[in-house]
Amino acid sequence: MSLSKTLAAAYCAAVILLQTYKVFATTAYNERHWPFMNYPMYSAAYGPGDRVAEVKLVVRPCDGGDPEPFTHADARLIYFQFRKAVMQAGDVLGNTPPATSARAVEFLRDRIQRYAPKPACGWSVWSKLYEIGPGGLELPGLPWKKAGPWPIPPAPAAAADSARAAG
Amino acid sequence: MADPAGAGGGGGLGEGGGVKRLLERLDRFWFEPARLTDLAIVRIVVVAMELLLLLSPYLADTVGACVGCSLPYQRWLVTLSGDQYRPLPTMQVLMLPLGRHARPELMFLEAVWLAAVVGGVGALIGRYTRLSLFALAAGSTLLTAHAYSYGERHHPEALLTIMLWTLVLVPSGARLSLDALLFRVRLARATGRFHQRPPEPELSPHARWPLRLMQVMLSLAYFSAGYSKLMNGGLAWLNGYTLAHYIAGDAIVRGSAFGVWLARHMALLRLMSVGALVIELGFWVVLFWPRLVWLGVVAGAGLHVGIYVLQRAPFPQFIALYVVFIDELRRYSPFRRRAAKPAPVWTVVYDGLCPLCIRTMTVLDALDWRHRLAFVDLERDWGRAAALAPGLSAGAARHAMHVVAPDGTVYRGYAAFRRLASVLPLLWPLAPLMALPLADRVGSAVYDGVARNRGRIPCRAETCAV
Repeated sequence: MSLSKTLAAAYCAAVILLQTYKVFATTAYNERHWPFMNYPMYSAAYGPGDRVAEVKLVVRPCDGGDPEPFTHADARLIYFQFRKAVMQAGDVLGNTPPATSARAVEFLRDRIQRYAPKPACGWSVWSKLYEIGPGGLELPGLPWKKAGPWPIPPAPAAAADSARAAG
Repeated sequence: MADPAGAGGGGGLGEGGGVKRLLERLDRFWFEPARLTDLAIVRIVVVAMELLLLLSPYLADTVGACVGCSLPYQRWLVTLSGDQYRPLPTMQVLMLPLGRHARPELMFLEAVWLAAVVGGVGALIGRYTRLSLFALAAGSTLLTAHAYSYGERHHPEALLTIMLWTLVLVPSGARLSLDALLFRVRLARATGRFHQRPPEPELSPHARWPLRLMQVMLSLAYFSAGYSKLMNGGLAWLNGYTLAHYIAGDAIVRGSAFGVWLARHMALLRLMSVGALVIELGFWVVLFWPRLVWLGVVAGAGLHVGIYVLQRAPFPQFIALYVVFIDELRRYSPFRRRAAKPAPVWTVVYDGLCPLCIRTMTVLDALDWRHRLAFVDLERDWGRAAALAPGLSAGAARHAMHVVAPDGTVYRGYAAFRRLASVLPLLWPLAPLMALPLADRVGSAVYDGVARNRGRIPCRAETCAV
């Protein structure tokens, strides 16, 4: 076998072995060595009675304007981290320990205080649950539920302004 | 079975023969010479996909097909606090010159994005192909690795990234590239004559293994998805409720009315669950039964389109990567035309002692991927030219390019170029320009001006047949 073929074979073997290792080492997410990773998304099983949630975080501006949504991009958090915190703060699925919920409330309050586009004086979590019943998704789902509102103490003006300016 | 070596210890040697056969089969599987043109097409498709993602913030970020490719997303990432940045090992390797754990600044990321785009354009047209591919591969890897160094990771970009790096290593610019064209122009200049492309495609073992590698990687990715479902969810994954849960969750949040509708139809959901698992666990079959490639590709693309329509989870890169099955798709195409009539050939009569004409013929030949043109050098093969166009004199042929149509009609100068532009699809974009009023008059004047002022190589005894 020529040198070029030997090198090509070694490259292919290395790439395939790395990928195979990532696939079979675990069926939990194994993505640290991206782009070599496994593909376990959507792999857990669910049954009748499981629920899916729609959630949003809404802030009330201090200037008396209409409540506005506050997103993960506003909070400068990755989507999953933000969604997890919102779900915990609002105890959306009804299974969050109170201490965890309190920590999530504090965490989000800090984010809102620092990064809300306009100074905010309160915030709340709105959630709507949908159940997967015997016939699949049950519509229209449960009514919207509000958790909060939680007040936001005025931040030191300079700190909040500089955070907003940085954004 | 007879021992081919003819020596004792039959079992051992039999095994040796088995190993030899296995090695031969492996060699055929990985290194059977394949068309360099196929490899070039793979380069063009893969690079075009990556370039599209880099240049379209909508597709990259809003649709979510490659968040790292989007400059607005990179600008947002640098506003996150430093403690959220945990560089992936890939990122650490790429950042080594600046320090493994150094967090890139916006200006650096913008420069990397620009280098990736410039590299992408170069790789697409095939100019400095390897260097351009390297810039694109390194740039897009760094951007995506950076995006995934804050805790959120997605799957669509991984295989395309590996493919880009693989293309850096192989002669993907040997065909359908400016590099290849310029090489032929230089060759023509050095030898003083035009060399027509052979009609048969050129083959190379290094055009096979990159495609095989990605075929195996695609199969592994699909198998991983199916295997995880079986291991994590078991057969309960097929109960229909599972798919209802996933589709409903994504469809409600991301706004897919079709997904919401489907999440209420259990029979369809159960059927689709089985279908998805069969495709994922069985995709590797196409590696060994290439006749099934069409089925695998259609099923796989259907799976990705379905996932996007129902859940708004985009995997366009995977669909683009199906181009690595190009050889199998062509060989076992159900749409293959059998015993098609050979296309009529247009003959170009050119002056083989004129460097400009030689360059022009080289370019025309490169554009002629359907092999519709034949070329006759009037100085070396005047007999053939005279037979094709009896009314044409050598003197007139020296003054301008002539094209002989399949029906024998002879076109001269600019009119000949116009006919060629209608024969070569890559020149079709010029058609509207040539249809403008006065285009014929201006075109003829320009053509005649250039033809009058072109240089000629002095006639040598062995080259002048006239």
